[in-house]
Amino acid sequence: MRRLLAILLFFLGASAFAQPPAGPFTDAQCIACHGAESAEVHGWRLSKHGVLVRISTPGRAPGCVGCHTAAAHRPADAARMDQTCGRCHSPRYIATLRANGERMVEVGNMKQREALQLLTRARAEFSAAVLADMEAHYASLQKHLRNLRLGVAHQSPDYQWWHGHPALDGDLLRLKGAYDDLLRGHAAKSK
Amino acid sequence: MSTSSRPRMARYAWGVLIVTVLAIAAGYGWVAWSKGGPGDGLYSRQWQPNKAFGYWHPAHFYRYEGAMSGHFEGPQCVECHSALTPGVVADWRASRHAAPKDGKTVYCDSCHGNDHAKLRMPDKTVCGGCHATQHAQFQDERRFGFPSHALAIERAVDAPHFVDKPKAEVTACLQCHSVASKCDSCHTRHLFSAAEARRPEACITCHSGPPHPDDETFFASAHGKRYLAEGDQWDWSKPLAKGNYKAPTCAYCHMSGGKHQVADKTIWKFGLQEVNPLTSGNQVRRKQWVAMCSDCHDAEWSRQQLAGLDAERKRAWPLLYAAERELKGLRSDDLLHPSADERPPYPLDEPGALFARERIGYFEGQSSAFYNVSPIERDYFEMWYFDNLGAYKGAAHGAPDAVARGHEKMNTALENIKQKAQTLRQQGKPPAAAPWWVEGEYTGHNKVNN
Repeated sequence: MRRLLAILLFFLGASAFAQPPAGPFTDAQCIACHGAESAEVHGWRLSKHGVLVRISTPGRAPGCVGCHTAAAHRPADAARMDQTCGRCHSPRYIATLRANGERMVEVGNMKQREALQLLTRARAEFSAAVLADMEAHYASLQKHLRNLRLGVAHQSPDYQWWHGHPALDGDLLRLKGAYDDLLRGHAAKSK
Repeated sequence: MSTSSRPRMARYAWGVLIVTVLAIAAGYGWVAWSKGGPGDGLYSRQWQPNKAFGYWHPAHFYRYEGAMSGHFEGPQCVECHSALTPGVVADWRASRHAAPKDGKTVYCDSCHGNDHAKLRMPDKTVCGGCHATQHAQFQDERRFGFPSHALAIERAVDAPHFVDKPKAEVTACLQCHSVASKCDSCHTRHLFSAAEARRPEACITCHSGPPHPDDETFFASAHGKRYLAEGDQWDWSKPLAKGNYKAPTCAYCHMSGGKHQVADKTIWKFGLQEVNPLTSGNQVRRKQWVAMCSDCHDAEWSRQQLAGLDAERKRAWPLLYAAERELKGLRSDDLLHPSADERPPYPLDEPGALFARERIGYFEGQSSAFYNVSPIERDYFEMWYFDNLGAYKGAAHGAPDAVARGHEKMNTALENIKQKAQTLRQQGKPPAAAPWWVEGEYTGHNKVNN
C-alpha cells in the first residue's frame, strides 16, 4: 500500500515538473519548491540582494519574483531585466557585469569541454565498468558548472568561486588523473 | 701578521656593507618597478585588467565612460536620477546623508563630483574624508598583516592564481577582496546604514563557503541560534557595546564598540598556519578576548574556551604535517604525476624551468595549489584549506559539530592521501606526462589569454 502511494506520489511529482506550474508565485513559494539549501536559493541568499531582502527595508533589493517575475518558469527577457536592474544600477554597470559574467561562465564551459573531450576518448577506449571514477568527476563538474552559472546570475561571489571555478579546476584535474590511472593500469596489464 | 690582516678585513667589511646597501636599494627599486604595470600588485606587469575591475578597485581601474557631460549640483542630480535610478535615490533619501543631524545634506556630488564627464567612483578615501576615525582605524589594520580587510586587495592580486587565470574568472575574487578599497561591502549603497552592517548577514556574502564557513559556524553556535530566534526584534541602531545585545554577532566581537579594525585581536590568523598562541603579543590579545567574552561570561570560563581553541589547533597540525610529509616524500622521489615541469607553464612559471617545483605547504604558496597540480596535491589542498579551516572556524565560533566534522574529514583525507601515496610508490617511476595534461580547451586558452 505504502509502495503504491509512493509510486503515485512519484508520478504526480514527475507530471508537475513535466509541466511547470504557471504561477503567479511569491518568493516563499519559489523557496519552498526549490529548497532553501538548493544552489539557486542558497546562492541568492548569500548575495547582497538576498542579504538585503533578509535584513533591510522591504523592496530595497529583489527576491526571486523581483527578477524572474511572478510568472517565472518562462524564458528570461533581457530588455525587461535591463529595466529591473536599472532601477538601481547604471546601464554601464549592468552591461559591464553582464559581459563579464557571460565570459566567466564561458571560461567554465571551456573547462567542461576539455573534460568531456577526454571522457569521450576514454569512453571509446575502455568499457563502462572501469569508467566510474571519470564519470563521477564529470558529474561533479556539471554540478559545479551549474553553481557557477547560478553564482553569476545571482551575483553571488561564493558560488562563482568556491562552489564554482576552483571546484571545476579540481574536477578537471581529477578527471585527468583518473584517465591517467586507467592508462597506467592498462599499460601494466599488457606488459 | 695581525697588523696587516686587520685593515684588509675592514676593507672586506666595507665591501659587504656597500653590496648589502645596493642590494636592498635594488630590491626596493625592483618592487616599485614591478608594481608599475597596467594591472595591480607585485605582478602588475604581467596582466591586463578587465573593465569590471573598475567597480571593485576604483582608484586603480575606474574610468567614467558614460556619454553624459555637464556641471551639476546635488539637487539637480537627485531630480534627474529620481526618474533614472529611483532605487538609488530612494536609498539615499532614507539615509543619514539626506538628513544629517547638523543639517548639511550630503548630496550625490559630495562623493561623485560635479563634472558628469569625469564622475568619480567613490572608494574608502572619499568616505574617509568625513568619516576620518573609521577610515584611520581601518587603515591601521595594515600593521597587523594578513588576514585583514585593509590588505585584502594585495592578498588577491599578489596571489599567483590571480595572475595565472583568465581575468573574467578571477573577477570572482575581487568582488569580496574589494572590501579593502570600498566601504559598501558592509554598508550597502546608497543607504550606508550602520545598523544594517551590525547584523551578521552583512558579512556572509563573503564570509561563507568551504575555506571560511563563518556563516554556518556562527549560526550553528549558541550565539547564532539566539540571534536567529530573536534578532529581528533587537534594536540594531544601538552601538555594539555591553548590555545592548542579548547575544554577540560577528561585528559585536570583531569590531567591538564599532571600531573598524578586525585584525588587531587575531591570534590564530584564520588557522592557515601554526602560530605560537602564547607569545607576549598573543597574551595581550588573549586578555582582550577574555575581556570581550566577559561582557556576558565568567572570565575563567572564557579563558577555558580560548584554551579549547588552542587544543583544537594542536590536534589539527599533526594531521596536516603528516599529509605534507607524504607529499614532500613523493616530491623528493619524483613520484608526483604530472611533475611540476610537466604542467602547463603559466605566466609566473618559466617554460622548461630548471628548478620547477611542486608547491607544498604554507610557505611555498599552498593557497594557490588548487589548479594545475596533480590529484594528490589537490587532495591536500582541500584537506588544508577546506577541512582544516572549517574545523578552525567551528572552534572559534563555538560550533562543536563543525569541529568534529572538520576533524573527521581531515582524518579521512589523511588516510586517502597515505593510500594514494602508497599506490604511487607501488606504481614506481611515472611515465612522461601525456600531452593532454598541458593541452585542452581551457588549459590552452589559459596559457595565452590571461
